[in-house]
Amino acid sequence: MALNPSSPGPGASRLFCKFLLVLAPAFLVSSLLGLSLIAEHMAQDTHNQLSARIGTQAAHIAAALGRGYQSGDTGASQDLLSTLLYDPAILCAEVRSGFGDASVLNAPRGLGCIGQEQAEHFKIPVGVDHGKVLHVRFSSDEVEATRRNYREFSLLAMLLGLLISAGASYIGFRLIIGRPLKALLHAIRHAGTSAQPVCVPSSGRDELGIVIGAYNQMQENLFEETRRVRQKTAELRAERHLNEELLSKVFQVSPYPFAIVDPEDGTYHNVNEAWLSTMGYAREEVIGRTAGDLGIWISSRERARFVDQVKTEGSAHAYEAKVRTKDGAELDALISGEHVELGGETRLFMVADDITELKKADAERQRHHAEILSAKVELEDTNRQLLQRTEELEATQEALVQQERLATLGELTATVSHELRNPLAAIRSSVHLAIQKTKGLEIGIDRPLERVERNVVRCDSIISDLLGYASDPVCDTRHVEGDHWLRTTMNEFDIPADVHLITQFAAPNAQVHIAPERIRQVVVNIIENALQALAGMPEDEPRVLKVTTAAEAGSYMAAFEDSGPGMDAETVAKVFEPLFSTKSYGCGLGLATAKKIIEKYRGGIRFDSEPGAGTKVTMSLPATDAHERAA
Amino acid sequence: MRIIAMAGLIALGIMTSAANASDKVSITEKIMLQATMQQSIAHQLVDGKYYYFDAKAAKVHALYPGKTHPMIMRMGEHFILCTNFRKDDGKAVNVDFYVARQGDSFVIFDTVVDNRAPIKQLMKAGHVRVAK
Repeated sequence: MALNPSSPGPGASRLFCKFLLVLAPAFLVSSLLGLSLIAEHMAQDTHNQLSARIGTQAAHIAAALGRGYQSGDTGASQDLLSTLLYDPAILCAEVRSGFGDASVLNAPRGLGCIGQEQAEHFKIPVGVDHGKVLHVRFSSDEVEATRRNYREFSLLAMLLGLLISAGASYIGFRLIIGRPLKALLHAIRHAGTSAQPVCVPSSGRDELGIVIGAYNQMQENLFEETRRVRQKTAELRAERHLNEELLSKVFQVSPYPFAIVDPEDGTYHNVNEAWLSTMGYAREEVIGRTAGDLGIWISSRERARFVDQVKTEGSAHAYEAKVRTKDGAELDALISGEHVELGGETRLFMVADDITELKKADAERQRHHAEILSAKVELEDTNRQLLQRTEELEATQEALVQQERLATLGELTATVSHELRNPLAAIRSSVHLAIQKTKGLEIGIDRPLERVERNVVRCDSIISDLLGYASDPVCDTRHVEGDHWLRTTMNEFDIPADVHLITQFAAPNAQVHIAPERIRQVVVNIIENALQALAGMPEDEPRVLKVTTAAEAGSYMAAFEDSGPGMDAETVAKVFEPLFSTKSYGCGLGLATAKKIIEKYRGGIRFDSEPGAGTKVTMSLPATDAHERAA
Repeated sequence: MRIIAMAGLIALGIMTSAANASDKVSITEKIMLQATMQQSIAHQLVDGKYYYFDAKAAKVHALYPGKTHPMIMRMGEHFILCTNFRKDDGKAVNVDFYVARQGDSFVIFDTVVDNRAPIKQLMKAGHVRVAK
C-alpha cells in the first residue's frame, strides 16, 4: 500500500519555522557583513574618485593659471578659476599671492571662500615660481552620500533577498521535505492502527530518501516479525489450552489432594476429589472460603510461614505441616504451592501429600531401630564376657595341658632316672672299688677313674635336676616367718671367704605360706648362680652378694644382688627357659625349676641385669602380717 | 543566534578599524597627492608630450597623458600614484610616481615608466598596500 499526501502537516510547518529561525539570522548576519564590506569599498572608491577628480582639476587649473599669469590675462585666469566650481564637490577657490595672504582671484567671483571656512581645503602652488597658491575648499559629502545611498539600497536589497529566500525556502521545504515527511507521518500513524505494512514513496537518494527507505525496510521487517509473532502466539495459545486441559484432567483424577487458591485473599477456587475425600468436606463447603475459615491448618504460625515463603520465593515445596480434617482428625502432610497462570489470572496451586501413615511407620521403625541397638549392645557385652571366659578356659586348658605334660614328663623322667640311677650306682660303686683297689699301684688309672666318678656324680646331678623340674612332689606347706626362714637358709650356705655377704632383713613380721624345702631349692639355685658369677670375676674386683627383704603390698620380697659381670637383655629374656644355660656344665633347668616352684606358690621371680652392673634376682611370695594373723 | 550576529559584527568592526588605522589617508592628502602628480606631469609636458628616456632601448619616448588612477598605494611613509599614458601608437603605458611628504606638501622623488613588476612584488610581500 502506497500513500501520496497532498500537503504537509502542522509538524512540517513547525519544522520550517525552526529552519527559518536558523536561516534568517544567518542570512541577516552574512548579508550585513557582506553589504557593510561592499558599502565600505564603494565609499572608498568614491573617496578615491573624488580626490582624483578634484586633484586633477585643481592641478590643471593651477598649471593653466600659471601660464595665464605669464601671459598677464587676468580675466582669463578668473574665468579659468571659476571652472572649478563646475565640480559639485568644490565649494570655492581662491588664488592668493602667498600662503595666508588675501586672494588675488576668487570663485565665486567676488565672494571666494567667505562663509566656507569650516569646509575641508587644500592648497597647491600655481605654476612655477609665481609665489601664488591656489586655495580650494571642497565638500566630501559626496562620499557620505554614496555610502548612505548604498547602505539604503543594500538594506532594501537585503530585505528583498530575505523575503525571496524565505519564500523560496518555504516552497522548496514543502516540496522537498514537507510532502515526503507528511507521507512518512501518515504511514507511521497508519502502521500503528493497521496490520498491513504501509510503504512511503521514496524521494530519491538524499537523506530523507534514505530515511524513508529505512522506514520502508523497517516496516517490512516489522510486518514479517509481527506475522511470526502472531503465528507463535497462536501456537502458544493452543499449547497453553492443551496444557490447561491436561492440568485440569490431572487435577481431577490425581490421587493427591489438589487445591487452587486465590493468592490475594486465600479463598479456595477449586479442589479435587482427592482433597474432598481426604479432608472430609463437600465441595460447596469449601469453594469461596479460606483455610482459616475451615480451620484446616492446626498451627496458624505454620500457615503464615508457608504463605510468606510462597510470596517471597514464588513457591514452597514439601512444607511439612499438620492439618485438621472436618471430623477433627489430625493429619501430617507435605504441602507444596506455586503461583500459576490459569485463564489469564494468577492462582496459587497447592498439592498435599498425606504422610500420616508414613510418619507412624517411621516412628515404629525408629523404635525398632532403638531396640535393635539395645540388643546389639547387650549382645556385644555378652560376647565380650564370652571371649573373656574363653580366654580363661584356654588359659586353664593350657595350664592343664602343661600340668599333664609335666606330669607325663615327670613320670617319664622318674622312670628314666630310676633306670639310669641303678646302673649309675653300680658304676659309681664299681669305680669307687676300683679306685680303692688300685690305690698305691701306680698303674696310671687313678685319674681316669676319678674322672669317671666325677662324671657319674654329674650325671646324677643332672638326673636330680630333671627330676626336680619334671616332678611335682607333694610337700607339706606351712606358715613361716620369711626373714627367719631365709636367715636360717642362708646360714646353711658355705659362702667363700672372698665374697662379702650383706644381709638386710626388713620384713620381720611377714609370714609366707610355703613348702620350705621347695622354696629352699629356689634360694639355693639363686645363691649358687650368684656365687658362680662372682667366682668368674677378676681377683682385684670386689665380690659382693647382697640379700635384702621387704614386705610390700601383701608380698614378701627377697632380693639377691651380686656384683658379677651381669647379663645382656637377650640373655635375661631367656634365663627362665628350660635347657638354657650360659655355663659349660649343667642342663639349664635350675632357674626354670625355680620359676616353676615360685609360681606354684603364687609368687614371682624377676631378673634385672646389665653387662658390668651385676644381677639382681627378686623373689616375691604372698605374705600376711604375723600380728594380723595372730589377731 | 544573537551571539553569532554579535560575533560577525565585532569581526567586521575589527577588520575595518584595523585597516583604517594602518592605511588611513585623508581626502585632503589624497587630493594634494593627485594634484602633485598632475602638476608634475603638467610641468614636464612639452607640447603636450611627456618625454622619457628608455635606458634599455637607449631611446627617448614621447607619451601622451591619459586616465588617472584614483587608487593611491602606500609604501610605509611614501605613496605611489599611477596614471595611464599613451604612446605614439596609442598603446597604453603605466607610469608610477613615487611621492614623499615634504611639510604640508608632497614631492615626487621617482618615476617608473612601464614597469609594474617591482610594485606587484612589493604588494605581494605586504610592503605596499592600498591607501584607505
